[in-house]
Amino acid sequence: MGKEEIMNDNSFNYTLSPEDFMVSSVWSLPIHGRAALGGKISCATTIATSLKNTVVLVHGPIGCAFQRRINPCRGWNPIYDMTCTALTEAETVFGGYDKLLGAIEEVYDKYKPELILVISTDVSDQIGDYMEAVREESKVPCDVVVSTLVSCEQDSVFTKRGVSIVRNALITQLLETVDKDEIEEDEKSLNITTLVQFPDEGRRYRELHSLIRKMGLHVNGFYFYNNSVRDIKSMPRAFASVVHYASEPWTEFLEKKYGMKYIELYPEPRFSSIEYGPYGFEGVDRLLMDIGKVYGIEGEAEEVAKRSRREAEEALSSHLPALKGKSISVVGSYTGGYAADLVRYCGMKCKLLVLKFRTGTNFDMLLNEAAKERTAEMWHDFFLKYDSDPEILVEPTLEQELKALKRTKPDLIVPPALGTSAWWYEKQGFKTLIPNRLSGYFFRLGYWTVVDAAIEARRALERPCSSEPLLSLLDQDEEYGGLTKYWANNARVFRHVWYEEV
Amino acid sequence: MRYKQKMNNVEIKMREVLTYDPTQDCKLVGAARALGGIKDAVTIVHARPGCHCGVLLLRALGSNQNDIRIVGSGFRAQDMVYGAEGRLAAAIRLSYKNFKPGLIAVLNCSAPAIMGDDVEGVVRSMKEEIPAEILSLSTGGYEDPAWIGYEETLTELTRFMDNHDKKQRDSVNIIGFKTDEIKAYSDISEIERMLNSQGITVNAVLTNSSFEELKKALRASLNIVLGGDGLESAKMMQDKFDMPYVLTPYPFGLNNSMEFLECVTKGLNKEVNQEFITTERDRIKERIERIFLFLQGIYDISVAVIGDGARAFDLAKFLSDELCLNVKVLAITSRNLISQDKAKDNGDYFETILIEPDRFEMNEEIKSKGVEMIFGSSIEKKLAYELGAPLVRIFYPVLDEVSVSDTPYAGFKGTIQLIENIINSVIHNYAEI
Repeated sequence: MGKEEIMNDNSFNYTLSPEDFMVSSVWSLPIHGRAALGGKISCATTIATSLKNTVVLVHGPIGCAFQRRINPCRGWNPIYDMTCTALTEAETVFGGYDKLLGAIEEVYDKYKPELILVISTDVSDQIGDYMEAVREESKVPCDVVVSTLVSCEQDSVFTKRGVSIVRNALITQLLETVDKDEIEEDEKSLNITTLVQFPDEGRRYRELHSLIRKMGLHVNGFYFYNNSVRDIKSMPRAFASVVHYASEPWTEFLEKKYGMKYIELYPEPRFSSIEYGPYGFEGVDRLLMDIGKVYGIEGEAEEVAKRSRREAEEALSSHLPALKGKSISVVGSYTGGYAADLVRYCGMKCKLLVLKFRTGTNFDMLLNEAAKERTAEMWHDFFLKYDSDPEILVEPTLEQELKALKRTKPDLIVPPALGTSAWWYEKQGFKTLIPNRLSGYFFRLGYWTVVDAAIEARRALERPCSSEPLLSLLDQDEEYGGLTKYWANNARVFRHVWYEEV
Repeated sequence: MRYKQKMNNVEIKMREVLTYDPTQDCKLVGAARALGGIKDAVTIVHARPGCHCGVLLLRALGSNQNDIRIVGSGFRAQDMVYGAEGRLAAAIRLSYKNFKPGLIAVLNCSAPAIMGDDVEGVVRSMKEEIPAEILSLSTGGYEDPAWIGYEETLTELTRFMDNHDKKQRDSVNIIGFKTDEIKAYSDISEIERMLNSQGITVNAVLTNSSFEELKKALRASLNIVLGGDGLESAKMMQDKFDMPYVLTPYPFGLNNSMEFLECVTKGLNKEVNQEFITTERDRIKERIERIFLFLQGIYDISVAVIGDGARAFDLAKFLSDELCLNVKVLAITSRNLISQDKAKDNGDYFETILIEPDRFEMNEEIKSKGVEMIFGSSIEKKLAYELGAPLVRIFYPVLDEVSVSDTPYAGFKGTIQLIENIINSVIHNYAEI
């Protein structure tokens, strides 16, 4: 995306690429906390793929390196250069520190990278190698960052997730020797943090980038998206950063060392309503006003928000006649997302809400019964606010869900992003929004996400719907709708051994 | 110098020091691949969830999304202190309850192996409760590479074989077959068709059979060891049960297919059905006539073959002897018990051979040899892209291509399919990545 295009193009519809369809295929595999967990190390290595001239050195056995080539987010696209210390049984007893030191030198000699990112594994964490010391002791002419306690665990707390652990290690270690005095600060500059789960973050953040420019600011960098070591070391130039959670250690580090401000995308109290988060028109309005407040340009922020929202609303208005008053059935869990947008901005009415926590991500799995009840209440409150009063089903079987659908007869089913069995609804004769086409919704920030949700809803209502898709030859599990027998069996075992008391 | 160099006109390179970017996976994956082919077995990966997810992804992305019987034991951080024997017992119970398997195989991986979970004890204690066979294997990632895990698993399976069944004449077992290779199911159909043409039936496949069928493996009169994988189990069956075996090539191409049939029929003291071979040969001739200009066009192009020891030698031989491509580099990413002998004895169809090389060094070697086409796995996509060379995905793991049609790479039918894919890869190269 060239500068001119960003400056002059007022529309920010997202055009799906073949890679997006691959992403949705892989994301719909019931891993990510449903039948398996990639663990922190998968997130950690994913981050590394978005760094320039960087080689990952996994301090562990060969299998850790080989299997981590297969990225759970982009399974079809392996991580090609993945070095390791090839720990053997002897090192599990005597330690693998010397081997790590030797490996760093060898990796430098071969790849001549700008940065060697050392990532621990369960084995190296377990044998207790003092890995951080290699940063002092290795004599290679490149940066070495060590990220320990990565392991294969998975946490619900963001600061302990792989993406945060590695981001924290990269930023704090690379900036350790960069003093405040050395930095030429730019008071109009802003950092944006990404989740690096999807390819081409630049395209996904196109609209936010443009909004920031319209406010008279500019983006110092996306962290992380195709960054060099120099880019990371330039982070303190920015006056503030847009961050996911302010409690991430690197955010506190930048604040203390450089006085950097931050704008938090997910502030406390979290998920307090279905309209929580930087989504929908109000969510983006709030985000822009928060940025404006930090930079002392509230007036400009308000002006940009008004103008940009108006442009998006104008684009939306051409789709509203096809949507307004139409009834929907929302299938989801704790997030509102595009389903909420269709209700609050498109005038669609919800007749049936089906809450499914079993087939979502590990976040859904971690919800206790009280949280699930609270989620149902939040949805109910939300719908009442927008003149809907749907029937609510929690964890129904397929049969129960089908009966309710036949009773309520919605014009459109709106399934969650990870539930890709739209064919099942269509086979039953219900028009269905195809969630794959909006799988990147939560990884974009801007007003045009609402327009795209409307376009997809309209597309689903208007397109011919087959009652005999070949996919309907598949048998779905009664309890785990959306999964076939084998996957459902795997998910049942996994849920029990991982989430329940054993 | 990190490599040994020797042998007549052939350069054999083996790394003497540590490999930092390995081409092979760990013992866990070798064991899981062997177990994945037992149609009613459940594999429990007793490990941190990343190991479970890694193995599961490799299978699911390799066109086996309908057949996932790999569960984790839910080993958590706190279990590093207190042990996860309770979780393992629960996983065994749940696996039985949900899958009703004939066999439950517990793979004890790095974290519990280091901390010393009594996996054997858990398995013993569950045997009365669970009406399925349960076995456990030590598969710590630091212990050995994948091929050792594969060999040990097949050998362990021989423990369950029943020696009381009556031998069936002209019946064979196939050893060394893996269901997660690309075209695996159509390959085994073609191999079976070829054997049937000789009046030979397939008794059991290690592994592409039910556990019950495997237990009856000793009914067969001969074991066929495909490309050398699983040789240890064949030797074990020979020593223990007096079951003979033959080593055959993986039947890539016309010559390997004929050699395969010759080896098997010889092992069974039968004559080869030449009529079948003549018919198949004529069929191949007719197909080649349709596209011979393309075959002439790719004559003598320089290629690299990057794959496992059981199949890469035989593919290289086919490419060199039959398609007359110039195999500049043959890289054996994961060897087996006969790979080194093959490297020394059969050096006329490749120029340089690398045995379990470091991936960086392998890539450098291939780049320096003027290679114009690569036969490898999905992991070679970047190398192929850098070289601007077509990549034919033929070795494990293939994660960026699906394979569900009945179009084998093995056998007589596979010869045509391979040629078709090779030529199309050259033609389509502009859109390869």
